[in-house]
Amino acid sequence: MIHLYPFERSFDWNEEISSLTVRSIYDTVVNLKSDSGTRFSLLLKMEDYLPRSALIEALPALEKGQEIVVDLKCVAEGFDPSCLLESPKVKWKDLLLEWLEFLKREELADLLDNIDKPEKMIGLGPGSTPAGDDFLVGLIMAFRLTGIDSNELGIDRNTLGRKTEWFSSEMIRDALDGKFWKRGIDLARALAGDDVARILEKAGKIVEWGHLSGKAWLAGLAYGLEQSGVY
Amino acid sequence: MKRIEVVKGEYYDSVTLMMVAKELKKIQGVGDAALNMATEANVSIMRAAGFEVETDSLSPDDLLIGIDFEGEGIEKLFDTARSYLARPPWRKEEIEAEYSPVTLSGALTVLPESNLALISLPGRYAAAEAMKALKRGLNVMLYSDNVSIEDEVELKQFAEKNDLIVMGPDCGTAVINGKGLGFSNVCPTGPIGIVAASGTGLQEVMVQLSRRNLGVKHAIGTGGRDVTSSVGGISFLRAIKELADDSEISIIVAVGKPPAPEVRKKILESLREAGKQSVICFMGDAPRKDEGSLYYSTQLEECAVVVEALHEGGDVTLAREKLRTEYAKVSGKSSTGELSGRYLRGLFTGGTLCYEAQYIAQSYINPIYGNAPLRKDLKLENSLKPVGHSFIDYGEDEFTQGRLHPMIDPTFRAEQLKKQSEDSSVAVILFDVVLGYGSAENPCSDLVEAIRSVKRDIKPVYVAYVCGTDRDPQDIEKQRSLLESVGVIVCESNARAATLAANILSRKER
Amino acid sequence: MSFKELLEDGPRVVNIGMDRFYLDLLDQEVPAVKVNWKPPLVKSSLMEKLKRLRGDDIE
Repeated sequence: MIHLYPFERSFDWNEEISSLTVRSIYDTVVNLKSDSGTRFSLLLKMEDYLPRSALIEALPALEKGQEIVVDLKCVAEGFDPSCLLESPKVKWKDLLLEWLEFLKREELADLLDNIDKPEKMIGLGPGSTPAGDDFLVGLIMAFRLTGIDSNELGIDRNTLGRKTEWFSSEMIRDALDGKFWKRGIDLARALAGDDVARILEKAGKIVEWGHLSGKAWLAGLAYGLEQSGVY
Repeated sequence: MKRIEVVKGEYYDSVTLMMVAKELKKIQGVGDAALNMATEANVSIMRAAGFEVETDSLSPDDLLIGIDFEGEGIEKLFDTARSYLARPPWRKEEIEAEYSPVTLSGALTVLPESNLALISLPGRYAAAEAMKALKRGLNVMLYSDNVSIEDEVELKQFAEKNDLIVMGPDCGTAVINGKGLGFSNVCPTGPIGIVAASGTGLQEVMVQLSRRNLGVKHAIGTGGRDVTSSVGGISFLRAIKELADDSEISIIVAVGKPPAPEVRKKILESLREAGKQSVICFMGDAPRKDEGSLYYSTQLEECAVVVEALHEGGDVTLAREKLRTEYAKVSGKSSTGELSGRYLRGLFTGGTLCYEAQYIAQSYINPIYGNAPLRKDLKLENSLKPVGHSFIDYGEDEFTQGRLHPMIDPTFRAEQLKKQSEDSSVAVILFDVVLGYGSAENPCSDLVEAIRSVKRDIKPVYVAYVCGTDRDPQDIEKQRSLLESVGVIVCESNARAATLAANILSRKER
Repeated sequence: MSFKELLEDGPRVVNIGMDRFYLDLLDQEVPAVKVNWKPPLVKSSLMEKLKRLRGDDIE
């Protein structure tokens, strides 16, 4: 059984998990599944931090289905996926509402059609993680930033796994629990401040994420902020 | 095999599209590649190039990618095209992929203290964006052409009411407080203020002033149509007023084509009231006598010479005479040995430079045909097949549909230069090279390659003018040396180059 | 900002269109922002939805 030794972790991965199975492998990210079906991730790059993830210096060759052990003894915390953030400043309104424009893209037309019923977005749209899920997570973060209860969306946590792909369902569940990815948190922090160059930089990092995922996420954030009535 | 793919709802500017096409054509097996927004005009162009375009659900906001590829796997090339659009391969450094706003409102949150919108969108969108900018309190520089005269008047009247200015449409050059906008040369700042209804005319005047160590504080472009009677010179007059009020400006220069009579009257009045000396250069005008504080010139270098004389408190008449003497010397240098052929061909990228060169050359050789001739009856039937003496402006509309302006991309004119060089009836070729911001990085290299590759027993004589300063990014010395290395005679001004080229021929004719 | 103020303060530019102009402005240390301009949506039900979301007039 292979043992891996990350050097840093997110705050919410703070116990040894008895068995983790490799679920998906990318250049700089490996996603793992616990017995209970929960996602954990190993990362090479800090900017890819998400809930229940840990940074590792190098990844060995792994295979899907392989069982591994992740040793967290004395591993420092480096990322808090639940950190509380202030709501974006009103002066950025015209800029962030631009992110709704991503919905003009032909591939995201389905999302635009269902925009009035966000819970219908689950599993909808193109992408290995459906764009509708990314949109929804952005939306949920927007609600969190503006103090709106996400329960209003009427999403049933228990049926998520059936409605959409595994990684996405974990992502949505985390969002409902108030946990988000580092790119999103960095952007939210920038929007609460006054440095516009930072906002453009952090937004840029999300726009280029995946083919459509990042754009859908930003559109969801913008929609949520717009719907919040704060602007 | 030629195939088209449509990408819906994604807009790219023409420069990006053409550069992607250029990159695709570098790939082995790609015979042709064309990327265009699906406007009616572009659809015709692509059909003419042999691509089958289905127009059923097509709108001008859709992108057409056309690729001609021999062999398997044409689909991969379309993927390549898309990846080039997303991540341009010609960008040398890894520019941080930061988000750029997509609306004017968004941009104003990023730079709330903006005072100018520089708009270079296709004509069909430009006017609406310009009005949005004016309504948000921004001045406008409208590089775009193909804006209707009604829109131009509406924009300028709105601007006037709101204490703003519209520079353009078709305004490619401006300098404000020493900073260049659009195509502009890096010149010193100083006590001169210029208002110009012409792009390369402005550039040549600034460059000639710079050679005489005279700096310009502001150079306001107004677009070519401003001084017509429909527009009434709104921007031109406003610019004169501001230059008149500026205590750091001691000489005002007005450059352009001759204005409509009632606009000319207002301009002259305004210059008289300015309380400063003014030099007026309306190209194509009949020569006029200087009167009071108003000095006239009909050529761009002469204009700079007059300004210099005024600035130094010298004798303007003497200065003009000295210039004429120098031109006579240039003519004198025109015996260059054996000439093969009978005709002069002028191949230009700057519209006003082409105009001035024709104007000067016609007093030595006649007639001169062209695509932007001095007289309508001298217009060429086919600008790609010049006859007799001909001057071609490759920046004209007919050449810039589906092609980058020759100042940005020298390839097309270089091809034409080679073609003209191999025409045995052509004895002399005259051309301009414009440096500065906006222009190509190494504009002479394509021309020099073309000259080197010319197959002909006796090549034509090449005469050129490099319009630039020693501070321009392209390194003027390097550009000149490149040209001289293949035997091009490089002159110090557009006027001198035209004079020399025309004299080489007229000597032969005598 | 009036024309006079533009001349006095120097340009601070919103570039809408060709990137090369924006890059040249940065080169001269002129404050500038570039707009990745997109044409307005062709009229359709999609546009109506977006219009409602934005609450402004998209032409």
